[in-house]
Amino acid sequence: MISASHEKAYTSSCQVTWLDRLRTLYQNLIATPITFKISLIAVLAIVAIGIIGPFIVPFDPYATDYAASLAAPNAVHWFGCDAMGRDVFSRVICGTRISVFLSLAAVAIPLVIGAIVGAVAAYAGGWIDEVLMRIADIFQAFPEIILGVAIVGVLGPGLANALFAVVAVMWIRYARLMRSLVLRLLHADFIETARMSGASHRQILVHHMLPHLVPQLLVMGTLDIGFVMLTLASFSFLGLGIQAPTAEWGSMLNDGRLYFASSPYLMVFPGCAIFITVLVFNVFGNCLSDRLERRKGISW
Amino acid sequence: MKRYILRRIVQLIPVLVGITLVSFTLMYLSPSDPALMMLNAQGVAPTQELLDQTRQEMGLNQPFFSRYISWITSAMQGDFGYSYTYSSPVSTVIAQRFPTTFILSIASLIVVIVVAVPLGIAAALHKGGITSAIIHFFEFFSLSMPTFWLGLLLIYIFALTLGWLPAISNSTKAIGFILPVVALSFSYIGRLIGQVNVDVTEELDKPYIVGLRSRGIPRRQIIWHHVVRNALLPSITVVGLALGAMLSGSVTTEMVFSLQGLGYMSIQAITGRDYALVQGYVVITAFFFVMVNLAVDLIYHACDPQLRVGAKGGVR
Repeated sequence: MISASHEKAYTSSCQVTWLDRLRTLYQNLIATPITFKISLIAVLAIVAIGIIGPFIVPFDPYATDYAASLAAPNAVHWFGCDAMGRDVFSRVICGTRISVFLSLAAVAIPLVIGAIVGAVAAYAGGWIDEVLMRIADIFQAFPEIILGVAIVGVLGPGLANALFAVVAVMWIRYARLMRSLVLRLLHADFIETARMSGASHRQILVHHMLPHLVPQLLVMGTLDIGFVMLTLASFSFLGLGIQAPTAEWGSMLNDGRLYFASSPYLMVFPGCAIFITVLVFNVFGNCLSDRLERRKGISW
Repeated sequence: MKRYILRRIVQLIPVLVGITLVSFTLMYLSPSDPALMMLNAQGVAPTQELLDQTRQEMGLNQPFFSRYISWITSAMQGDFGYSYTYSSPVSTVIAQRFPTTFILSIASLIVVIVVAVPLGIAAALHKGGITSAIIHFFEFFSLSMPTFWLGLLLIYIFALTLGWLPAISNSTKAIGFILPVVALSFSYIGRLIGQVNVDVTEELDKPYIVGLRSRGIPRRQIIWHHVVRNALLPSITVVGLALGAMLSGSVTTEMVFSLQGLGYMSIQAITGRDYALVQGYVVITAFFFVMVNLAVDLIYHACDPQLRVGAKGGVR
């Protein structure tokens, strides 16, 4: 039975203008919980800092000034200066770009790889499924970052290798998720219908299944950004990721470790930056997944 | 049950072969020349002639597969090669450091379970209340805390400022493990709270709960006898995964606290380009992890005879 409101929504959706869309967007935004709004704004703010950060900082993050070496936080250097006299505030702000965008890449790349592998495994079934899932088993047999440590250990420390290490660990999660999602849809009526109408495998996967699965994948990806950010930061902290002169939070902490008894602010500010950024992304991801949970009943 | 055990063990074979193959391939692809490294470590000036001879002796001229076979045969006998940074066999170095990492991981795992499980249950039972809000806040706080930063803060507060606990851990004294265990367990507590919360909430939504309530069974009994028992059974498998997280986290924790365990050793090995040691570390840790997960799965299976194996794919 179709209720009156559904019918109205249906007829109006046939002729949506941009104004209607804007209105729905606005109404949706009004109806969202306060945590979602705050975390959304915070995420946008962090991304904005990541983009414009290097242009607005008061000092060059790489300029050394030995007169200001290990200066405590003051009116000029808000967060103080490190052992080489570099302005910690500028370095923390500039570090946003690399942390945020590297983490986004470190989620996006394995997400795409995993989605393809998982979809192919579930859709093809049989020995292909068996082989792909056994490969996933092998990668999963290494506890989390141990495989990453091995990869970086062999290929040498560096940004690209740290990224590669995270991708090698993360793709399995998405492959497993995608496989289970595709399996669930495999015998849904609308897929059977598409198959009967002669749609090709590629068409079924891309045009009929994918639109249903994108929200789930995106939510899972968003939930993982914080975790990936922490992993990448710990790689830098261990000296395996981004290398020393680069303004990056993990390596700043590693640099500041030598002086932290006398200059604790060297570890307070970069650490806070990591913590707050990860927190914001975690809360945002959680809000998104809550929304998805609630929408599920209607969309499928 | 016997058939299940047998099948699990058979399934394990390709995984174990895969682990060794991946580890070996990584080392095979490494840009450095092991022969040159060995000569350097021995303090011999490497001439081309000597280099060729050493390569021949070490079997480096053999094809990939025969090198893999010879490596795996000696590895199965406990010979993982020789560590240059520690000047002793890899197996000895790892055996010496294993207990520290093992104690650290197990102690942290116990702390995680003891703290997270009650909190997760409490959060699920008091949905919407202030208790659940506080637990939820703590969950995110813990999830977002970088282990290494927490470690540094703990050292600063409890060792340097208050002077209550030692800053640099000595693996022979239990007191030295307090801060590392707190740092290592902290971030995983949030993950487990979330997991337990979801499991218990799902269980509470099941129709049989309504049935039990309609039969007048007291709330306390429903929760402890039915909900918690049913919800936490699948969580047994999480313990195996959590141990993996502890083993991974031990790398940063040991570095922060200068704890002489496997994690500390692995970073030393990487910076010293001691590939045999890195390889041995990776293979042994993965092997240990796989075995623990097998044990956990078998225990789970023994506890839950209803367990069915997941759906198979394929278009028919």
